[in-house]
Amino acid sequence: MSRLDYLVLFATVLAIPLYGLWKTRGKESLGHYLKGDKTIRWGTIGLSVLATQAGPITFLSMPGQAYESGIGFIQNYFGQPLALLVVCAVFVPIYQRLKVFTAYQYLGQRFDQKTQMLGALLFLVQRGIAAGITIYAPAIILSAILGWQLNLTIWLAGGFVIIYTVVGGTTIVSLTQRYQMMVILGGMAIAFGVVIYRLAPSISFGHALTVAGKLDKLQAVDFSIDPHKRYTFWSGAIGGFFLALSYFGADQSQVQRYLAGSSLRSSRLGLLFNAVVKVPMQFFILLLGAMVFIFYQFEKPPVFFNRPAYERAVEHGAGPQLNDLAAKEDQVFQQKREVLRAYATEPSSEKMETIRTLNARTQALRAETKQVLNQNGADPKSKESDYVFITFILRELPRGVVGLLVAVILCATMSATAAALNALGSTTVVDLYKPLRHAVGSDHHYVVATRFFTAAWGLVAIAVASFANLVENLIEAGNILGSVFYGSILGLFLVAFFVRHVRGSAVFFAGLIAQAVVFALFFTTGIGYLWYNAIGCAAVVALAPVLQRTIFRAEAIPA
Amino acid sequence: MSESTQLSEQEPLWLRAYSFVLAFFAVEILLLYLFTVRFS
Repeated sequence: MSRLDYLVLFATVLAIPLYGLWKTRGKESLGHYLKGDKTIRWGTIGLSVLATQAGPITFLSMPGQAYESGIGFIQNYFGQPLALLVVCAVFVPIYQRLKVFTAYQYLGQRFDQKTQMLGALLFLVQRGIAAGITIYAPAIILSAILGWQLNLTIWLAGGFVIIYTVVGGTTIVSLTQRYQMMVILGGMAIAFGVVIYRLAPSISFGHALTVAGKLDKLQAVDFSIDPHKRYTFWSGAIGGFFLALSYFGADQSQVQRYLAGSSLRSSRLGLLFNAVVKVPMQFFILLLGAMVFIFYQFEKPPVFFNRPAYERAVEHGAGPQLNDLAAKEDQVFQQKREVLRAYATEPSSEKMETIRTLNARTQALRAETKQVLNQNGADPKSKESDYVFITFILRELPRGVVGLLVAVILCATMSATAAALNALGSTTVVDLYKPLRHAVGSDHHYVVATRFFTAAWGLVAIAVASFANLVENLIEAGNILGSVFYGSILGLFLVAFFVRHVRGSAVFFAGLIAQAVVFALFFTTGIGYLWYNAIGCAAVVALAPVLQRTIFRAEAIPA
Repeated sequence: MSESTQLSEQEPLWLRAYSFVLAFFAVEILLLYLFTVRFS
């Protein structure tokens, strides 16, 4: 990266939180710290909700996911608009009416303290680990590609977020997220423009889409009913619905965003904004990845995108073997490019068939390269696809824009982590510290306690990031973790809303059993992870009434 | 006028907003499906 890039990067990354700190100075009440005094308008809520969900993984790994496997991942978001409608219609009015600070406070009011604590604990465990992954994911990639020290990157990104979140609370989180999201969307739009501009001399946008489609990169919708397929219309619409319902309705990092709304109307409009823009935004990011794939059909891509891992394998003595594979791949690349150029001027099905054959040969050679790397202990730590987009940014974008795009990744890290720490601190105080303390404290006392726990969770997230050693694709890691816990949490809320006769103990034990069932399925079966959301939720909703009518019959109150 | 009365009076308006979002989403899915058919 050039000096200009570093200037753009630091100016962007530092300016937004500093502006936020200036704007939110001198606000001290607990209400303000946790809910932002309910002054935040729907546009800020909409962008804040979008930024909380997106995170660095969305912008770093997702184009790589499309580069490798196509845009089918879009289906994971098909359940989201429907879930957001349910959250708007059912969850938000209840939270607003009861004036709760956290979602789990509602469980305490509807059931009992132990159920409130169970919901809070499931959230804290899941979100605490997820916050660590959010910091780790970009740090491992940026440190590998830019040569930054991993722990320093983790501490810099995490440390700065801890400082401004602890100082400013909910208001600063929402405010900074608004501007961070604007930078992110602008940066991604510029990257898309550059890739299309760079492709133009070789192939038109229309032909690029045709080629990407023929090479299986543009299958956005797949109606297959095979439960082992990770991305289908059904797993996305059904499993994704439960994941999104749980995430937006019962994950405090999101609930806190829309509870900061100045009115019920603001909260609802912010969420509806997300229901409308989420699928097109994800499509655009995935399509960017597919276009980067086409770009690398004309420009020679690196032999392996995770360059440090490749160099480690060379040091381990795999050099001759890797050079041989690189020479073969180069030969196939040259042939394929010639045919592609011919196709761009005069398309024909024979040429396309040749392109497909040559592409399959490239895939086989790259798989062989990966195998050699693994055999030689290169320990890539994360999937090669995670390195695709950052490599494209650093190699192909103009000076200054590179700094902006790296800032996009860091802004996304900061916005998602800030929301998580804000929620973790609030939940610890409201749902655990306050009930267990058995004494009434002043507003100032609880603000100090929330600041302390926010900082403590920040340190936990940094510790998780420091010890994380991911083998899965980074996008998957976050979604799998969420799916394992979210089903049970959502089940608690659905029983609270819709199964009136069930009381605290029945739903509490149903929640524990459901979580155990999901853990057992996770460790023993290979079903698509989105289904855990539906299974966990269904288990709580089915078990709670049964436990109520049998073991906990004495606790029932006549309807 | 109480808050709950205000809310219930506004519900038909929200139902229209939800229907609009639902219709928009249906169009998104249809376009994605047509995109898939066209380019695969």
